[in-house]
Amino acid sequence: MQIPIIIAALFLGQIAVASANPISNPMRDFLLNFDVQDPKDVIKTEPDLNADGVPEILLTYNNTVNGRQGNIWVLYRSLPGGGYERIDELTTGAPIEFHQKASAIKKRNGGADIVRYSPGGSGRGVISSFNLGTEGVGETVIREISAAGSDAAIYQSMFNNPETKLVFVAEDAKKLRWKHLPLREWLRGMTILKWCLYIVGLLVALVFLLLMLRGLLGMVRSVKS
Amino acid sequence: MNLEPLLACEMPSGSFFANQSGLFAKILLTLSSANAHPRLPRSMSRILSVWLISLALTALVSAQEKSVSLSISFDLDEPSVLLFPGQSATAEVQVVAHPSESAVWKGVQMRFVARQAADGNADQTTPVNVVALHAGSRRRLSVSPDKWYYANYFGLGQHQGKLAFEVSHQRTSDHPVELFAEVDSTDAERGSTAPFQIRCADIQLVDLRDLTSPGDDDTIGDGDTAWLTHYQADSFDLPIMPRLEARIEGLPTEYTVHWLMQSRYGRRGDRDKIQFPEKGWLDVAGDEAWKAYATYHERYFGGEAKLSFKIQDDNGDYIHAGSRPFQIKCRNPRDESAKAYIKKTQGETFWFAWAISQHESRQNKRVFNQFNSSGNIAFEPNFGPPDGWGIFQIDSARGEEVTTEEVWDWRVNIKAGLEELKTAKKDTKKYFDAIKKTYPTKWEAPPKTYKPPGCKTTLTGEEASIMQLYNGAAVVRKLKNRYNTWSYYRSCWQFYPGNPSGKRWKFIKNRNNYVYKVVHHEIEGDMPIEE
Repeated sequence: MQIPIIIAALFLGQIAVASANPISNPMRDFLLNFDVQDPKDVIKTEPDLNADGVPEILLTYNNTVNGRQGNIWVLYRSLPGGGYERIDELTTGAPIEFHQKASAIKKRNGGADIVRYSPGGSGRGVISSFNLGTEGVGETVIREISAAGSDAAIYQSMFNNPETKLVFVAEDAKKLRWKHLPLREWLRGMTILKWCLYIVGLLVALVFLLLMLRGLLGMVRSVKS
Repeated sequence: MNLEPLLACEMPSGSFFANQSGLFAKILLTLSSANAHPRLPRSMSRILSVWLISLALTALVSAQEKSVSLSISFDLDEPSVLLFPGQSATAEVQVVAHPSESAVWKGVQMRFVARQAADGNADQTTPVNVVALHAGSRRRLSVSPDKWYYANYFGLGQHQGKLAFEVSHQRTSDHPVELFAEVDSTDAERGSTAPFQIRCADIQLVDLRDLTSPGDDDTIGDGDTAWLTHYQADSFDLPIMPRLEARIEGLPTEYTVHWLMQSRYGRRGDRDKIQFPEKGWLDVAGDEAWKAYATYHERYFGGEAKLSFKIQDDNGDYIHAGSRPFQIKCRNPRDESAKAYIKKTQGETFWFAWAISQHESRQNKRVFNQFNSSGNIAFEPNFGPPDGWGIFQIDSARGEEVTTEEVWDWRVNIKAGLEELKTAKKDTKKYFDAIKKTYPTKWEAPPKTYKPPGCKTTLTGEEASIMQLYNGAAVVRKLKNRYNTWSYYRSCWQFYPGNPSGKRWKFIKNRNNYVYKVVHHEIEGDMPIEE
C-alpha cells in the first residue's frame, strides 16, 4: 500500500515544483497542468511577441475549443533570466482564444500582437488583437466586419497573408505525455483489474523466488553434509 | 494514195471506227482504185476520197482519245478510322492516267464523295470536311465533297500524282461515313477508290434528371453546369445529385470504353476531391451507356468535375482518350422546407436550432443558405470565415475537419449542427457541476429563465447557455478536475460566490452578442427575410 502513496507524493511534488519557479519546459508544464479528455494532438505556435529574440510558446489541445471561436490557448512568455511564465487567461479573466485559420501576427513597436477574427454568424464578425504587456495579455477590439461580404478583401489581407500567418504544429498528445510524464501516463492507464493482476503476479513471482531460494539452500546443505 | 498504214492501225475495240473499219476500207479502196465507178467524175471521186479520209482520221483520233484509262486509289494504313470532333484523319490518294499526254491529263477531274447510311435514307449526304494539300506548294485547299476539280487544281503532275488530304466531320448519326474519291474525264470510264470508312464518334454526357420524364434530359457540354437540385418527398425538399449518364456515340460494341468521373472543389483545396469508381476505371462495352449516377448513389459532392474516358479496340490497343470538363453547382432547398426539416430533426430540447441555422447561414435577406444564393460564386457552398460551411456554418474549430458531405448535403450539415448543440448541452451541465464542486457551500442553482434585454422571448438558463456556446462562451473558467489538474469549463453564466444569495449568477454576453441576435433577429423576426 506504500507504493501508491509514494507515487502520489511524487506526483504532487511535480506540481509544486512547476508552479514555484520559472518554467523550464513549457510542454511538460502544459501537459501536467491542463488535462482534457481524449485529446488527439497538442498544437503549438511560437511567435516572438515581446521581441526579446526568444519566441513565446502558445499551446492548446485539438479539442480545447470554444465553439466557433477556435482553440483556448495557454501562453508561455519567455523571461529575461531564462525560462517561461505561464499566462492562461486575459487580464479581464476571459480566455485566450483564437481560430487557427483566422489569426495572424501584427508587428508593432517593441513586439508583436496576435490579431484574430471572431465569427458571429451571418458572415459577420469582430477583429481584435491580443497584446502582451508587463501585466499580462490584454485584448483590443478593432472593428466589426462583414468577412464573407463587403469586407472580404480586408479579411483576406489580414488572415491569408503567408508573411503574417501564424504557423501551427500538431504533435501526438499521447506520445508527448509518455515522453514528458511517463509515470503519470502509466498510472493513467491503470485500472482496478490491472492493479489486481499486477499484485497477483507480484505475489506469484515472490512465492516462486522463495521456493527457488529454499531449494538452493537445501542443495548447499546437502553438499556440506 | 496509200491507205495501208491507216488500215493497219489497231482500233480500240468497241469504237465506232473499229466496228465499221471493213466498210470504210472497201469504200476507200474502191474510190482510190482505177476501177472506181465509171459514172463518178474523177474530181468528185477525189473529193469524196479526201472527205472520207478526213472522216476516218477524225474517227481514229477520237478512238485514240476514248482509249484513256484512269485509275485512282487510296493509300491507307487502315481501311477505317474512328474520329472525334476536332480530330482529323490523313491519307493519300493516287491518280494515274494512260496515256500520258498532257492534253489528256488536262481533262482529268477528281472529286471526293461521302455517304452515310441513315435510317430510311441509304444515300444521305453527310457533312464531311476534306482539306487537300496542294501536291506542289503544300498549300491547304478546302475541298467540297461531290464537287469536281481538275487535276491541276491539286498540282497533280502530268499524268499521275499523289494527293495528301485530311478529313474531319460533323457528327450527325451513329452510322459510319464512307468516303471515296472518283476520277473522270470526258472520254474515259470513271474510276473510283475503295471506300474509306470513318466512324464519327463523340462523347455524350446527359443529366437524366427525373427518370420518369424522359423528355427532361439535359445535355452537359464542355464547361456546362450539372445541377444538384431537390425533389419533394414527405412535404420536404430533399437534395438529389445530377443523374449523369455518359456514352460514346457512334462506337460499335466491339470497343471497350473505360470511364472515370472526378470532382474537386478548389475553395476547399483537396478536401472534396472524389472520384468514381473510387479506384481504377469502369469498363463498359462500346455501344453501352455508363450510368455514372449509380456509382455515386447517395453521395453528395460538387465543384469542378471531369468525365474522362479511354477507348480500347478489340485488339486491346488504346485508340483514343478524352474528357469532358463540367461543373456541379447546387440550389438551396426552399426556406420553408429547410426550416420544417430542422424543426422535425431538432427535437424539443433544441427547439431554437432552426433560429441558429437561420442566423448562421443568413446572406442579407436570404436565409437557410447551404449554398450562396447570389454573387460571384452563386450556387457554391456558403462559406463564412474562418472555416464555416453550410446551413449551420459547421467549422473545423470543433477539432475535426468539415467533411465533403457536410459541405454538399445540407441534411448532414444540420445533423452536425445538432451534434454541436448536444456538446454545448453537455458542456453547460459540466460547468454547473464544476462550479458546484468548487464552491460547495456557496452553490446555488442557476437561473431558471433568461430574457435577453430588448427581447420578448424567454429562454431557460440552460437554453441561453447552449445558444451562446454554439458561437463561443463568454465565460470560460479554469477549474480543478477529478485528476486535480485544470480543465476549461464554458458557459454564459458567471458565478460570483461572494454575492448575496439569489444574486450569484449573472448572464455575460459574448463578443458577438450572439444570444440577443439569434433571439431578436431570428426568433422574433427583427431581420427581414426574402425567399
